[in-house]
Amino acid sequence: MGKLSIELSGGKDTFAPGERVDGHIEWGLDANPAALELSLLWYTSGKGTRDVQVLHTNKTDGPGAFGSDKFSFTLPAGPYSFSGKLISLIWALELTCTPGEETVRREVVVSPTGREILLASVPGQGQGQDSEPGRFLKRILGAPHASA
Amino acid sequence: MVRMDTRGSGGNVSKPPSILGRFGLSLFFLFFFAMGSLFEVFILREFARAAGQRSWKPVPCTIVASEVREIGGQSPYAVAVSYQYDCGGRRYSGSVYKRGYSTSETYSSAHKIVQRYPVGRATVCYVNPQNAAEAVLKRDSMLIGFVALFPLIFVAIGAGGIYFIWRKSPPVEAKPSAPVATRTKGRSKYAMAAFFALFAVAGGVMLYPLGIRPIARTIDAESWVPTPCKVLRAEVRSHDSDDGTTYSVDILYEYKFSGQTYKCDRYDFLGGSSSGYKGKARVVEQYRKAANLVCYVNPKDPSEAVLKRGFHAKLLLALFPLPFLLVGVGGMIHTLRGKKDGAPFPGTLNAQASVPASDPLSLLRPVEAGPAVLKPKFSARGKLVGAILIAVFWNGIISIFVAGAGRFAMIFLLPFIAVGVGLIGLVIYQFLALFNPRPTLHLSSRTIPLGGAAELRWSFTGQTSRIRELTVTLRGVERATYRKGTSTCTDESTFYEMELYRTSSLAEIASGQVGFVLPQDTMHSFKADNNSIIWKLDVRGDIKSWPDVKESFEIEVTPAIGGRQ
Repeated sequence: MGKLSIELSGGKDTFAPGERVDGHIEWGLDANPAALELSLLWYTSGKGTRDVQVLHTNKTDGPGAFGSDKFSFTLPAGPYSFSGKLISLIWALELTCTPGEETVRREVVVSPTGREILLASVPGQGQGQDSEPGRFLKRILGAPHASA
Repeated sequence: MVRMDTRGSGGNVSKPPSILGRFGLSLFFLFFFAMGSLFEVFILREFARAAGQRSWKPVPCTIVASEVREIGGQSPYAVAVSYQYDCGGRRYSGSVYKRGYSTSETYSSAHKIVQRYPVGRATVCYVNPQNAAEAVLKRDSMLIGFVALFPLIFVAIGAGGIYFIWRKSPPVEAKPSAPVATRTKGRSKYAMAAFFALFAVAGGVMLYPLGIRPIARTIDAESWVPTPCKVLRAEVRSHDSDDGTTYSVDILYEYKFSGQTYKCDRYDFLGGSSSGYKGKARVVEQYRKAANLVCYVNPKDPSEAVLKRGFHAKLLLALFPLPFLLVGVGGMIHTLRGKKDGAPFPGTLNAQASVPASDPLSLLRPVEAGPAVLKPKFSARGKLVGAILIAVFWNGIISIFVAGAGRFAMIFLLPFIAVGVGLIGLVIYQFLALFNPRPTLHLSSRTIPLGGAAELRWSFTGQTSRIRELTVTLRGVERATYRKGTSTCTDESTFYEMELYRTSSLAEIASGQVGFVLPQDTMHSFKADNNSIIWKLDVRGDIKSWPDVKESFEIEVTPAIGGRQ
């Protein structure tokens, strides 16, 4: 079982949009891999089917069984890291080795506020409400209904 | 940072139904599966028989007798045909026109067979190689193979439903760093396309005999020759089955064309029978009493005639298969041309960027930041057309079952009929909403950054005075789309809501304006294939005893300008 790691400069894991992400990767593997790939990506988590976008990939061919390398990526303006009632958007750096199953992921926060954006749910929205035609039917039949 | 997500992973996790609920749903889908399978077995058996008859030997034969005989009953016409053929040095006599054929419901169809095989005609019959005494003039049609696709829709719905009810949900994502398998969206896309293809094929196969043919004949009959004719028999014929009695107009008439006498019993080009006795009785009575009756004769084939030609409301039934075809073809196109598959999930080998970001800062720039006229996502007409299509499709399917349902089956169908009635209600609602005043929104900037300000102006066209109260609300919404069984669901959750304006003044309702500032510490607009953050302006106008004005206008909110706040 080999070892892969991603280290961020100064141990920092929160970034502003457009900021540079610097650090280095280290690997110590049982066999010589064909390639190592470091990716900057975001993915969604939560109720919706997962979306993912890889923004940058640094590929190192024939890296040898042991070694380390520096990296530097520039973050885009968005999307921000956020977490709501249904969806979370997570930024991460991911190092994978080919061939093999070795993978390591390091999550980071991309936000202008210095922390993940939290989206609270507005009470009374979407749950237990009548549809528009249902509300209309109730109204013409004279049943009481809550005002919008 | 380890994230334990309890909202479900990949959208496949939702509150499962109780065991009782699962059994109930399974029973429902089992009914679909069993009925579909039963029909499938019958059809495949017939198809196998038809295929077997392809090996029967064609042998020259001569027709020695051929006539239409009236034998009474529900199918009162029989073709009495006999022919002689030689096989293996022996002479045989045959009297079977086609395997399984005994009688015809109409004189026209029986007479057509007699016309095809007149006495003395030298033709070909097909002899069973296992038994030379068994022969037919016409072999079974292989076209029944196409019909086999129709019950497959019900088999697929039944089996798919049961599978998705009982399958185990995938485990919740617990280890973010664990490699995740490539997404299977591509495969499900083709499965959905195959599902819609079944609808398209079923609709296409039904469309010719039920739709195109009667309509084409109606058009063709416009050139048929009006000819005096005499009614030989006029009655309402009843057709009994397990599910009740249906009725048809049965009028046998005689006419002369080019010096020759013909008989025919075609009333119109749709034929068939339906419930409702009185209407048919009225038609029969009308033809019984008619003094100078005229029928329309096909000059190319004078044995063909019709009493009622031209377009009439009943012909609309001929369009019944059209919704199947449209939904099938539309569904296939939409599924196959849909959004491209996303990239493999990171952690799999050869992960590629789904959309490489060539300009990572592009989102920061206020592109096209000039004023904008906002448009609602769906127009009132679009909503009405959508509601009509759904209602026609649903009620079309349900009507097939209702038409042939007995009392027990009718109880089972009641919830489905209720949904159908609800959909008709939706069509009426959307139709009424068509006459509502329409809002037009002008926004001072096409894109607004978080923390930025904008001015909104609105105006209405139509009878604005009907609106009692107007509310304009700014909302931020999370929208997540996920698969649940065979269907795609979308959930929404509002994370931001601010009422911008509320007024009962007629002048202010007709047109007005309001300025607003977006919050800074929230999320900008974001759109991916399945997840999005939507910012919108909701306009609601309250109208007494009428569908309210309710329109939603999406706006583009960009990340805040500048760095860290």
